[in-house]
Amino acid sequence: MKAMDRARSILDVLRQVSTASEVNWIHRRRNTIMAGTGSPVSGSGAVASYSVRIQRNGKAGTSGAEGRIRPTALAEEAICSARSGPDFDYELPSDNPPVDGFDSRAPLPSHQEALDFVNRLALLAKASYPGALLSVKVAWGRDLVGIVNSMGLSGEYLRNRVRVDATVSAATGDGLYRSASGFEAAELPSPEDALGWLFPGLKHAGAPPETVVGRKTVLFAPPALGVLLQAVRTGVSGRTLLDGASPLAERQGEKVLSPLLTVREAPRHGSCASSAPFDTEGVPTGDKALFRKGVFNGFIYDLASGFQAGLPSTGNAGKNLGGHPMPVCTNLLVDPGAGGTLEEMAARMGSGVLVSSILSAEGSNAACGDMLLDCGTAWAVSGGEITGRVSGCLISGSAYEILAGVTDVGGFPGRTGSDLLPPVTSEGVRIR
Amino acid sequence: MTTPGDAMQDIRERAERAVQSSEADFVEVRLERVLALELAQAGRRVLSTGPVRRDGCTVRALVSGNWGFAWGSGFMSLETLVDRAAGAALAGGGGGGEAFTAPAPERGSFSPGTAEPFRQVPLKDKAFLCRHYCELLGMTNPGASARVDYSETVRDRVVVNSSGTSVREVEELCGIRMQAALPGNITSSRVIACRGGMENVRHREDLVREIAEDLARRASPSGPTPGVVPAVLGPELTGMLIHEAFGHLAESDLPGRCPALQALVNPGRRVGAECLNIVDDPTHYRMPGSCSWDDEGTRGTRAVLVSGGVIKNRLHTLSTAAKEGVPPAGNARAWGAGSIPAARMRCIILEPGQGGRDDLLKAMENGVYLKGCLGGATDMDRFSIIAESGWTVRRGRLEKPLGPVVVTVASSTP
Repeated sequence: MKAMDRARSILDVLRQVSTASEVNWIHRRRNTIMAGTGSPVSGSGAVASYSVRIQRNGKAGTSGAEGRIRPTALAEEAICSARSGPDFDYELPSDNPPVDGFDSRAPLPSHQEALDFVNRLALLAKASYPGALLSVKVAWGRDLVGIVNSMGLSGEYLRNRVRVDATVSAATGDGLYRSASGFEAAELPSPEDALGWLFPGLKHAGAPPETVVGRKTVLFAPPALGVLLQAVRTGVSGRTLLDGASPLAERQGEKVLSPLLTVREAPRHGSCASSAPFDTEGVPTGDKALFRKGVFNGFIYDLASGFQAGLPSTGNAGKNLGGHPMPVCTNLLVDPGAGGTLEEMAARMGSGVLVSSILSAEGSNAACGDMLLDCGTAWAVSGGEITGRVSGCLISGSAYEILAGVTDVGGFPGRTGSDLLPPVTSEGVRIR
Repeated sequence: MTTPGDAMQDIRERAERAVQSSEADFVEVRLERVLALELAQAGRRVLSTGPVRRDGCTVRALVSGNWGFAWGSGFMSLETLVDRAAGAALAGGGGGGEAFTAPAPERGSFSPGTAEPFRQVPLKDKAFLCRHYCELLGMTNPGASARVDYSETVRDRVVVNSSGTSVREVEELCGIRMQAALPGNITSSRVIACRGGMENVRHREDLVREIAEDLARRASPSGPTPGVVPAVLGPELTGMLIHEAFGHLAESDLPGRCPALQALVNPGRRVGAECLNIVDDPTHYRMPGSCSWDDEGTRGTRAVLVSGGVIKNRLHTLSTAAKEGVPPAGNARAWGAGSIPAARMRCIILEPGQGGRDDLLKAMENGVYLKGCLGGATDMDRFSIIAESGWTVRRGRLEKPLGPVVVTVASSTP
């Protein structure tokens, strides 16, 4: 049975027990290659999952399943969930969302192309730093994503996804260098680009240890900037605003970040992995600048938070299997600046610290923007050159203040997660 | 939530037939049926995920020294997946020669009973329990935001392989997390995570009281002066320390295991004082990581990792155990359908020494006492753990309260 037909059969059951209802599905097909010290291991698989949401007695109920789909079980579980669910006092959309640009089947990499990519990546890592040992997992495939609801809306689209996760380790003069990183995209990049995005600074792995404390100028490579932007992802959510937790409340139209920063939510970007023509509630998505030249433009909403705020949905609903929708960002983009390459930015910075990855942000409170970042890999920069490796470097402070202090934006964005971000330099960052 | 019927037994028998009819050198089938529910009460707002049901099948095949694998949701295509895994091993581009010793066959089923199975408790009762704890947290901590999260998972798992292993285990996991936060990012939380039923999360008003007392003490905490200081760690933080600083390093199939990394956990290396004894014991069936058989069908057994401060063993899968010529102890763990089992910690235990907290504080004289755990991470080169709160210690006594403290240490430091 086709996914849309199966979803309609589930919807038929839900209609009998609810005032309004919707069914979402994702069919994921993936091929994988894992390579490390031994022979590469290949695999393939497919997963079909269905989520439902119903409106019953003014409350929302949800359930979900992967594998065998039994419409009556999904309905029964959603009814139970609705008994203690949140209020559902808004209308589901009825107009079919446009899917133009998402209905074509761009070619996926072949198994051999993926294997060549993995082998080349390992060679490049070794060339970058002798003895560097790389473990890589590449997963690639296609998602079929769709929705039907009781208002007559239906929509379905295809998207390609390629995920690369890698770990590098190497012996150094004083011990060990190790780092793990990953990104997602709509297509397989060149191994040269991928290595630069995954492990900026790898060639300096053998730099001598240094200690840095105090207020410093810090150059954040894309993986580190991606972690800082977690605060923005949470802060711009209309749900965070309604919960009274967003530091961006009543700051719409104000300059919050550096004027060098334009941060975009780009769900229609062709090369990013989380792109979608409509959100999980069937509302059309649209690219938007969250911050234009540092000025905060506005919050993102799903149907529920938008209704509560008296505003329409911005097409930003996202959810986990069987969960309730929440306003979420998809692909974050920061506009490239005039800063050139990472090396050129380090040279211009003169002295400071280059942070290429974050080991842990668990002491942070992303909602209020207070960050406590344990930098996994950081480098001391002096005279525009990397002179040492900084171990145990902790960055603390408000993410918004750090982003307000940005004085240089790189010209070449790198992929981290599903985001596309250039390096940025910020002054006066507290390191302890 | 409906109870999973014994359809799993029929599927298990199908899997047994499928592996025996395969021409691959070794085949392993893992079947999983997972039922999960998450509930949260944040102030007056109710959040929930599920109930969610996941059926998945993962097949791994060894052909001429190369591994291949295939997975799918549901069990319909089990036989096809066996063929696809063998095909992936042939077409994967590997050079062969993967070390592997077929395991001794294991057979059996294990489903420990619980006093109050959560599948028999209506969802609205669980929501009521969350609301009850959340309201108590709000009342006892004026001005604080309160949140209570409840989660439950039933994992019905079958592992069948061509060596004759056929095992089935049902894990019922239940947990609750209570948290209150005062303005200024002062938070206190308590977590219960058990293998068992609702009896573990009912009548835990004592945790609400502990949180209130904790927040009252820490109304105006200060940050510690950065530097190298002696510290006594509370039990949660000690657990995280062992997990991050030693446990992950001891996982034999760690990605990117270069010789320098390997050298940090070679048996015979001293990693601590004589009083340091660490074991991994999956037979503590109330603990969330416990198992009768792991995800490769190996029986879970107690393994001594560190004795008298010296490394004795590492954690293994069948493959890494074969490479090193040691017996596996049931540490293979997969993260659901589509993932290959990896060597992971089960129930890591730091064996008790002598004396209590106050004895340790007296012995330390001056330093810090850190407790509660907000998290931890490691890149193997070094690790960090984050204490929820602490105190400065002067002349063996607790002195001034501290806010969250980050502890970072190089892994090569004993």
